[in-house]
Amino acid sequence: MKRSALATVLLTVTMVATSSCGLTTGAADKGSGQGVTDTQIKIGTTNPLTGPVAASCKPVSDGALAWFDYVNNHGGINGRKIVDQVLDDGFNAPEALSNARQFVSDGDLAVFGGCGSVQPPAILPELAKNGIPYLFPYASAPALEAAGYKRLFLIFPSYGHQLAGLIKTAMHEHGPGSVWFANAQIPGSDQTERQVRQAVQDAGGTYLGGETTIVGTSDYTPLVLKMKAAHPDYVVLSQGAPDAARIVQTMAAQNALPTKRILGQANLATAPFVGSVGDIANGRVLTVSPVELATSQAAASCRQAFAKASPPLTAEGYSLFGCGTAQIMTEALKEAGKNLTRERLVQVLRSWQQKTASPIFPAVTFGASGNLGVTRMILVEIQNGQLAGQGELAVVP
Amino acid sequence: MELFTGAVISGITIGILYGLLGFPIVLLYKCTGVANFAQGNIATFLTFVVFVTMRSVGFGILPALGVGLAAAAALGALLYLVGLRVHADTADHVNILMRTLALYLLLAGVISVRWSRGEPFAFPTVFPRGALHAGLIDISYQSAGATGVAGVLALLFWLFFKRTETGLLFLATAERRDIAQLLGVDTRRLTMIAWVLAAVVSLLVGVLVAPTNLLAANMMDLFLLYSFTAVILGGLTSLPGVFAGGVIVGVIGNVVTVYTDDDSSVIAVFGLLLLVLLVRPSGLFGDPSLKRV
Repeated sequence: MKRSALATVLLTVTMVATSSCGLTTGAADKGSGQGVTDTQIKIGTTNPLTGPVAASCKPVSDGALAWFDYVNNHGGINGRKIVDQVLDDGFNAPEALSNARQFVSDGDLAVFGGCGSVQPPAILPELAKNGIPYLFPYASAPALEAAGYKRLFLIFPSYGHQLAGLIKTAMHEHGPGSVWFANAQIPGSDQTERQVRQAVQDAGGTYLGGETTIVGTSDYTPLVLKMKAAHPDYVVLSQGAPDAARIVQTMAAQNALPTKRILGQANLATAPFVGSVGDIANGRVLTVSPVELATSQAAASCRQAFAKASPPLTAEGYSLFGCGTAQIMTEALKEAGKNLTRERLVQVLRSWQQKTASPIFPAVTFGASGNLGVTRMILVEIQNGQLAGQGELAVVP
Repeated sequence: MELFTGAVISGITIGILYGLLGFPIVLLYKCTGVANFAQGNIATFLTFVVFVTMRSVGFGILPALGVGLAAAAALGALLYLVGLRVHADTADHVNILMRTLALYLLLAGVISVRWSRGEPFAFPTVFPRGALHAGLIDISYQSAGATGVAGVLALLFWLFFKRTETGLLFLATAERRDIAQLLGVDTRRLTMIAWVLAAVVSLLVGVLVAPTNLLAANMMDLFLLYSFTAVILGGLTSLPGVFAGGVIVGVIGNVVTVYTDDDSSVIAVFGLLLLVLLVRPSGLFGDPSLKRV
């Protein structure tokens, strides 16, 4: 387990390092018009459909497919149906790279969506080399935000940004305090730790330290004992939903809940986390969501698409992210018009200024060269076993 | 000191569970000469059976556990009869070993396809909520109860092996399968009973782990790795040794984690494993003279 994680990181670093020139200069459009026929628009998605994060990540592609089906059943985009080929990468960088090569070989218009922070840095060089746009993965990857590839478009701020914004807001609302940080070993986790430490200092708090854990650790008791010995006011979690839930369960069992709040990134604003921690989280957990909540009016169109999916989908954080990104995609394709090419798609996205492209996402701005299109997220508190929206907050300065 | 005490106590608690999952691995090894890689996923599969019974039929945890125990007995027998017994006399150890790996993947696939959507799932505990307070360390009733159940199971198995005819035949078969067969012992029947017992114990481990680790398809993956370490440290053929090995793994892992980090803990546990294999290949409690041929 550990060895495969290390191998993945090394492979990722090597691939990013050896391909940096192609990323910064931008590649030629080698396949204008490819992936587009008179009747269809073909795109590809690499996503963990099996493996340790499949239960969280599969709803992301399912949500997107539900929206594409909904659009196709209502006439498609400019007379064309969207065909999204979803391939399984098992949360594994080499598998994701193999999938990306398949999409390149098929001449797809773009690589769209997907979920997981391990795979995107691995596939970006291949896409950049071939000029393929890469759109809207659910991934925290600081390296992507700084990649400089002009056909890369992100609407999910990195975990470091999310937590920095959340810490600032929480300390403004509940007062400064001491912070203990439970981080997960994924690409960019060092930068996340630096951003959390800086945000705590900027907000007038005290950074007590923390621990970086292996994904899927079998027993979180030692971690929680260290946390408890530090007597923090806030505990910050940057973990996947299952591990975050296990840590919170162990904190409750060890009587180690912090005096003020548990703060966590977007994975805590999802059904797998909320459903598995029960009433422990009530009034204790503050988190952020990239999308409006499932019960909101803004999510009505996605709920409608999910109801028509077979089998019907549950509207929650992951599936709504997939649906929302599909809505942004269809909006861009619509604006790109009949003469759809990769170049035209990129032009449209670059032209957006505070564009409301999906009712569940904040307004989107990419500008001439930026990779990250949103700077705001929804502040969420867990109350009575449910997510409760508390308005928007800025997560990127 | 309180941190150290807490790490030791929690290490013993988790270590006994490592030992409990390792126990059927040793039992099957003694009967068949092969380590069963599917043990963790058998536990996860059966725990999902209990969970689905509660959710779909509306049973409470105890009636659902009863259904689970029946399912465990059936699954253990089925796995043996369908997956292991066929051509078992002519197949070599590598063949049987690969069969257990295939069972591991098969069960993982079924769990993933049938039940994993929306995981992890909160799993109810049969013990009350709350904890025993002792300084810095709080021992949850769940952990204390799990340790107690493991202790009772260990005692029952000891009585079974020492005081029942079937248990004694088991030990005889485990020590010298060839001679037991010559003396007319039905070793196939005993091996099937071993698989049934292994599945039942796996279910109990799964049900004890799930309330804190949460029910998920990969719930036992790392757990199994530590259980195998406990089995090897304990001596592979020693039934009491596997519990001692589990406690050693649990305590060292937790103490190193609280004073350093997760990575160092992994290095310490598996470094110890390598050291023991180099210095004492039969493990800490195994019989150095015993060699399976």
